[in-house]
Amino acid sequence: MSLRTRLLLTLGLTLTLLWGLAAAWLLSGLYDQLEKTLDQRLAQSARMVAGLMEQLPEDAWAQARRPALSIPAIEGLACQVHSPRGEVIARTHADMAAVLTPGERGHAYRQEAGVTWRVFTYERSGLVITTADRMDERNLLLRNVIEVAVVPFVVALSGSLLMLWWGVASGLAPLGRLRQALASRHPEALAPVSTRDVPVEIRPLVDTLNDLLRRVQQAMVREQRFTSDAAHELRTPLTAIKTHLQVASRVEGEAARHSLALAEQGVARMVRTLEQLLMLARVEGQLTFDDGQPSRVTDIMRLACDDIGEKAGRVAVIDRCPDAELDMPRELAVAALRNLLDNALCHGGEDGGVTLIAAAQGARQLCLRVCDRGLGLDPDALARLPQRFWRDGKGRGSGLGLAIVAAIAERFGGELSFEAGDGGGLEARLCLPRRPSPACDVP
Amino acid sequence: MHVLLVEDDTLVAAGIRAGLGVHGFAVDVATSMREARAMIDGVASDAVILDRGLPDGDGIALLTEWRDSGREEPVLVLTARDAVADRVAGLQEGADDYLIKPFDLDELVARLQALIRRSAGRARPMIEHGALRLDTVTREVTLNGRPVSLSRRELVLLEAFLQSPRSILSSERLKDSLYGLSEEVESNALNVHIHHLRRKLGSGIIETVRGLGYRLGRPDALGARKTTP
Repeated sequence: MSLRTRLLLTLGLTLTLLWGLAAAWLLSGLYDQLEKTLDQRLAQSARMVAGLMEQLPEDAWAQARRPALSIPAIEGLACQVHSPRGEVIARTHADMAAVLTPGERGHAYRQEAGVTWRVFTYERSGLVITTADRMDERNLLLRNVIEVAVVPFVVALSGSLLMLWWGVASGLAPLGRLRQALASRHPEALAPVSTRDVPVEIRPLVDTLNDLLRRVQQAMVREQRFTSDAAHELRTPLTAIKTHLQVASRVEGEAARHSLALAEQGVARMVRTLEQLLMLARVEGQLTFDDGQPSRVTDIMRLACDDIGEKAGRVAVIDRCPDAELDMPRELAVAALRNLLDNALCHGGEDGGVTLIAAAQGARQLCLRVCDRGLGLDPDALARLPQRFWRDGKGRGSGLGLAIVAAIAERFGGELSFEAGDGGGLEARLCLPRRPSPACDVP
Repeated sequence: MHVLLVEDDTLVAAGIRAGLGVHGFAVDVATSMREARAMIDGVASDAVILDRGLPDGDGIALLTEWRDSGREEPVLVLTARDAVADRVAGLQEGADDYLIKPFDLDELVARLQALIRRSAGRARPMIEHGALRLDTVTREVTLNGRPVSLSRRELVLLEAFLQSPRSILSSERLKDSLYGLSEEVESNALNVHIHHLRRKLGSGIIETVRGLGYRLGRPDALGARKTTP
């Protein structure tokens, strides 16, 4: 049920019911009061007649065979006076014997020729006075009173209902507009919803929605960019492979062998890019890497150096914290360090040496510093280093290695930073969480 | 036909260069915008293949620069990004065609030939000059309906003349078409190829314009073989 229908039904029904009950109460009170008042009037007129008759001389009705007094009739009202002997002394209507014949004292209803009368019989000093009131006269009066009282009542009630309908409709109009605006949007549109004319009560809702839309849009832009970059990185070696294979099928001898060798280079590059993409996806995903092996820093540095093969001879290792153990899977720590070393060896100048220093940073972290002796990078390039697919102008590497290191650092609450090294080269600094251990030799 | 290839990835560039070489194109490679600017002034290219992702900027910027300065070489844009916006951007900035990596070598060759043909103002791949016919796709040459066998270099040279039938082509220009910048050419190599063409198609096929270069002969001068004893 819509909010509007619910409000209209609840308020409308309650209003009608309350006003109806009040009206019924009023009417029943009015009816009782009117009947009581008219009855009192009837009784008082009887008493008044009795008072007048009493003041007549005793013999006024003692003389027998005197014709009964006739009083000019008033519309709707009748009266008859009986002597103590039971004779009719005076009357207003001669043809109403059934109604005006005295019966029990007090009020009663009587009928005569299809007309109902309210009758009051009163006795004083032997005189019996009967007064009667025509009921349809009384009912007419009652109806008139009710009309006067009820019409404003009905008008007020319908006015209230109309105002209620208008109030609810205009009060909910901003919600309706918001609903319309949302319904008419393209399902994939991520532009913020307009907050113009939005009532204060639902403003937080719209703000939250807009915030969500903005974040979804940012995430989508990031994803699209990543997909586009990844496609670019995979298509380029694929192009090389395809072209060289096609050339190989068109030429012969040494030229064909050369083309095949180049195609293989392309395959190797593609495999490397794919592996790094998968690694990045795994690091950023929910997969666990824990293989149960202790992550001793000494082991990590040795494994990373083993991984980079013969170029490891150019790496000078300084271990200032030999017993330290990292609080993260060994496989990832090795991968991160290997990427840093690869990067330093590749970009740190031809055959330039690389220094790897492991040192504790406070009680919780251990920093691995990789310093090369290359030309370094300008500040703009430094900031872009960990971006995915960013690489220096010479187009070496996949552009993912440092992005993977940054992702690993982020996953375990570590930090990756770059700065100009003391010797002019580049210094990469990877700080990772470590387990509590005996204090290291802090330099 | 000389093609300037602007591509930063050396592996891809080597592949395209070798592939186009098989089809008789002389290819020079520029690996950055800076190199490309220097080379386009130094060599007469019949077409340019332009990669978008260059180390010193977007290839499209280079294209805009060239078009603004009045360069009219047909340009085929290579891109690894297939979003419609990426493709449209190139064409709007003055590219004549585009190919998405990875492409088929045959398609690249066909598109290049079509671009060169169009820029010479021809709609059909067949070039006719009097009794001489050259099919630029099948690379077949016939004279008076009889096939003539030409070497790869001779074919390239003949095509260069047929592409611009009324122009005088300088020796430098012809050497660019044949070898590009990268190959060391012996000083009389061009003369040797011209001599072979005259021998196979008649001495009237190529006229020597003293001091300026060479020009395609008039159609009626064809087939007048030198009577060799």
